[in-house]
Amino acid sequence: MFIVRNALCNVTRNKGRNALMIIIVAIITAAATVALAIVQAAQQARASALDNTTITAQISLDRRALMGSTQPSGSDGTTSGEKPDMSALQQSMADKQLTLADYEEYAKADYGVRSSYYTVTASLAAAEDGIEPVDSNGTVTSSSEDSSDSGTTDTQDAPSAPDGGMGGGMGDMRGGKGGMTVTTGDFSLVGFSSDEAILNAPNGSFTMSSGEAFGYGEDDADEVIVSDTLAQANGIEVGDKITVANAADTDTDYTFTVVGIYSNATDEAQPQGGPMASTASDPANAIYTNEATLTKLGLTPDKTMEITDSRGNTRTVQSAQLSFTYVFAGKEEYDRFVEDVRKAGLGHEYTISSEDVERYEQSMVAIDNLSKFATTMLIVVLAVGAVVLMVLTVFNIRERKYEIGVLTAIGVKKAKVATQFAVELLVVTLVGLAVGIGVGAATSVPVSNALLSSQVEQQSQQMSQFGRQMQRPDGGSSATDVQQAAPQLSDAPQGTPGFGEHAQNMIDQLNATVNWATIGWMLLVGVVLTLLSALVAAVFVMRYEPLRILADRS
Amino acid sequence: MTDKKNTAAPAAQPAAALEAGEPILRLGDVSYAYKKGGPLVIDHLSYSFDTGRVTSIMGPSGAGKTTLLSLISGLTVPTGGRVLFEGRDLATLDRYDYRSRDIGVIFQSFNLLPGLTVLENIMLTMDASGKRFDRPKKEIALELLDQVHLPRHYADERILHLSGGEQQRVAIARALSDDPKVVIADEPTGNLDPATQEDIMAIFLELAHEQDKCVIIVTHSPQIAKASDTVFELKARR
Ligand SMILES: Nc1ncnc2c1ncn2[C@@H]1O[C@H](COP(=O)(O)OP(=O)(O)OP(=O)(O)O)[C@@H](O)[C@H]1O
Ligand SMILES: [Mg+2]
Repeated sequence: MFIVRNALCNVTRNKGRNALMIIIVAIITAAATVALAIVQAAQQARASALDNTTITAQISLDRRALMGSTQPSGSDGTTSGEKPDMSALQQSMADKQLTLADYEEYAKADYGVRSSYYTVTASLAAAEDGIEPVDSNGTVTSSSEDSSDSGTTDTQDAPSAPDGGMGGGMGDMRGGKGGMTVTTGDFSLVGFSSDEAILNAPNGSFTMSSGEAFGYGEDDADEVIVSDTLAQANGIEVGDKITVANAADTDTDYTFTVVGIYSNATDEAQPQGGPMASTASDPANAIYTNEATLTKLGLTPDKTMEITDSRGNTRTVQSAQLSFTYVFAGKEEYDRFVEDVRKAGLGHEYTISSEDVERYEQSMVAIDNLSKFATTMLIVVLAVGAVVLMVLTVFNIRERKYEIGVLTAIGVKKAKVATQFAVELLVVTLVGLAVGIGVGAATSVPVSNALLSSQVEQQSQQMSQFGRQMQRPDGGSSATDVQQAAPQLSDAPQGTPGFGEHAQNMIDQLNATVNWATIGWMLLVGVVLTLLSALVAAVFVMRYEPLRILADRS
Repeated sequence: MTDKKNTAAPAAQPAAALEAGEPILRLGDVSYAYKKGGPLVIDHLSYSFDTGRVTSIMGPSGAGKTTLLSLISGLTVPTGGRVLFEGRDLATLDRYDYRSRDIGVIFQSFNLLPGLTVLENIMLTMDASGKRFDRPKKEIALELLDQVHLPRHYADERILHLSGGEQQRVAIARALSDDPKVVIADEPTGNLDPATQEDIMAIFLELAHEQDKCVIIVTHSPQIAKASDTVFELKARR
């Protein structure tokens, strides 16, 4: 068709004008391509961040919800000066405490749970003639009696601790969850339910430096492994027997057989509770055993014991704390679990929370912000691009009225003239699109990562403003601290001091590569916009009166 | 001068259908007003144009000569009366086809495409006609340049670089390129020197007499009028 040939010739004939057009289209396309790539990458990141990753979750008692319910109605649920009735609260906390059986009730495959494990943690005191705990400075404390009195110190809140879900014990793990919530005593005795529980040990992953880990049978009760620090301090070797005492009653001694010595993967020697922390919260003083050992000793969550603190106050605490963890194959299963468990009758005084999901949501904030920004940018760029393309087309065609006149005068039908203009426009914009997509593809990754890092920075700044991570759901602290926190409800500020590590954990790389989908979308949008402006051109051509050629001079 | 190689195959036109005595172009009581209800620029005009003759249209400026040409060339339709081409009313024909095949127009201001070369301008008209040519278009176009006495080395020159007289010749060549039956020229000798005028007029005479075309020329020049076969005087409007 000669009109197409003529159009192609015209493209090369009007080099200057078309080059300008190509540059404009390319700039718009590049911006839109980058924006689109970011939006797609953000969606991708959102969808796949938890792919191929197991998710762990816990059910915990929501202190606030409980507090609200134990308070007299009328004070609109807030602690407006009035102190909550502590004993009533403690009572209701104790009543509401989930037992192992309760936890296991929900750990069904029907609910999407892939597996579950738990640890039971009890605190132990140093026995008269037994081993000495390691204090914060890594030395053996001289007096075991003195050390057992710092019971009211705040415990570390577990939420800051990543767990094994994201790769089975990463090197940057800090602190622990669950077991490390012991607030009294000199040692913590952590009973694991399975190897999976050990993999997600409260103090992070560890390796055996000698001996081997305990089994889980009845016969294996009394078998423990101790940390290399504790072993060194007390000269313990594999096969030795160690003696420790009950935290409440130092006359009750327990004797364990050391079957192995472990070494924590992280060099997290400092207990996180500060100088006032109990030595029991020092990872070095954690004695690991199987859950059967604690059961055998009667150190189970359903029993209580009396503890006397330094001020002579006696409190009743649970003999042991249970930390039950559900493992899911993915986010979908977790979401299903939350839904199903609620349906199964789990009250709203309990929260279901997942470190993994929370951390994921957290890291999504920056990505979401970037995605929103990119979406806005995409819309603006496309809108501006559409307008610019229209305006250019109209100007272009007005300038070429004479050409339309000549062509119609020599008998070229208007439809063909319009086609010629459309083809010209299409060729020019396609070249512009190709160049723009190329430029966009080359720059999308660095541009998006630069944008993301500024978002992450902003996010971190916001967090440091708050002194903790933002947007934590209330009571979203992990399951285990709730149980032990009952007696000291009012003195611990909620939230995590360690905001820094969350910033670290945020996704700071976005794979905003331009893929075929991006290219396809850009081409589609580009062609649609081109056809739209071609339509404008066509309307212009159709309205042209051939007679006007007599008035239009070159 | 007597180069008759421009033998583009005549398109399947019902030329034979012409009744005896029916002129190729006839104005039947034609009136035209640019605006609806405006003054009649052409006022109840009747005339016949014969093939094989050069007809000169004369008249004072503003008499409506250009307007009449636009009616004949089918750029617009009369507000009253009919323009008949081979007995058919132009108003009922596809005037795009009519313009591209049956007539060749040399406009007062040439109306060539300035961005295109001489050859491209001529060949674009050939393409637009949709006619089939028995020889390469380029060959025909180059022969047309010979016919209008434009040296062949102008073939690839852009129109912008040509003088008025040269553009005039290209416009004529373009009008002839698709071998139309009617050739219309609006003041084709307006701004040319006498020698060139004569040369151009000779081309038109040859077209009419040798190639049996109907040639219609609007002119103010008495010499041209004298040289032509028929003169059609258009009265000034009152
Ligand atoms: N597009 C138009 N709209 C309205 N009036 C027009 C238009 N073109 C021409 N006219 C009017 O029609 C009349 C005839 O104009 P036309 O161009 O046909 O004259 P002409 O005989 O060709 O004159 P000239 O010898 O100067 O070329 C003039 O009075 C002119 O003002
Ligand atoms: Mg005129």
